[in-house]
Amino acid sequence: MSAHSHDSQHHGGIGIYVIILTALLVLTAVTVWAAFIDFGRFNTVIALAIAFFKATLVMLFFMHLKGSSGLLKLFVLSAFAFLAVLIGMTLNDYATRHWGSQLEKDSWITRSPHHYADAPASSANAAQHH
Amino acid sequence: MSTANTKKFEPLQHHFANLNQQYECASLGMWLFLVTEILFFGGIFLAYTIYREMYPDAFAAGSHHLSILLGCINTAVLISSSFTMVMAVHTARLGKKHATTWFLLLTLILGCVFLGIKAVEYTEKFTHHLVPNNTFHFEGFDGPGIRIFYSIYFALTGLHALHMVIGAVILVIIMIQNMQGRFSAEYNSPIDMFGLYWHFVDIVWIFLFPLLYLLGRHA
Repeated sequence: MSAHSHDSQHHGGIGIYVIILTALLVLTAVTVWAAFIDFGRFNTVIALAIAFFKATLVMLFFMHLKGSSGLLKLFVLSAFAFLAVLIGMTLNDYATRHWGSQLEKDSWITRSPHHYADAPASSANAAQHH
Repeated sequence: MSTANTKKFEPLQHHFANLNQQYECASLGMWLFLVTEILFFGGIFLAYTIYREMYPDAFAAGSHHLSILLGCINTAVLISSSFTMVMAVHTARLGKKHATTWFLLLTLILGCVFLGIKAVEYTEKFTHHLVPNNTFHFEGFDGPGIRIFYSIYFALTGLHALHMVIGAVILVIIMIQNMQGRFSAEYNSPIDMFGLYWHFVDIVWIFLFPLLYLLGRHA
């Protein structure tokens, strides 16, 4: 009758939760610190790597995925697999649009479209209000 | 006030063999919901990715304007609320009813602090015409894309805040049920399942904070 397979002994106790809390707060500080240093393109990579690591900590320990069944782990992995398909396949299109184009470098995804520059409805409105 | 409710309430639903099977099913169902939520937020994150590549300068200018201090405090508050939530689940599994109530209350308070700080940020944006409507005006950056940054900012943080509000309401309900003595060391999956939801909302913010507030800071 009792549901001891998901009992607390299975997933560690207060100690591990405090460690994870501390780790998450420290990693937040690290990600803020790293954001102020210029790593070029790697700023994004570093920020996302830290965010994914923090998310993994939360899922494994706070959401008890660590002690869960393989089925549950597969479920969660599938979510990120489909997320990778969603983002990867879309970027696969956007990132390769300029290939073979004469416009090349500056039109990575048409950096500054003319139709936006010609009709800046927003700034015209804003000018009236100020 | 507790007697009527506890006597009528039968934790084990008739279509489950035992509480453990019921718990496993509830977990799987909750995670399935969270999987759809990941893809739900994923769509907006994708929009963010594409538009940031399109208008990197506008997005850098936009994130420069967001308050890094308030963002930091909110991150710490939400992470702490995740900790108090996991402690609520932990104490519920041990059958410590009063401790669970206190941890749920702490989680609720921290959640409200988060929403309060978010409200301060939103108010600031409304008074400075940074809401992408027909009065939108951004000082210091004159180009396309800045409206898109604020549209995505409000879409992401707004949806996240909506999840927090829904979470706070469920939290109140669960806390009352806990005070009525509905949960025990044997049966506590509603607290457990709500914990999964709350941690998910925390994870969304873990990604929102660097993407909206931090990237483009160094330039």
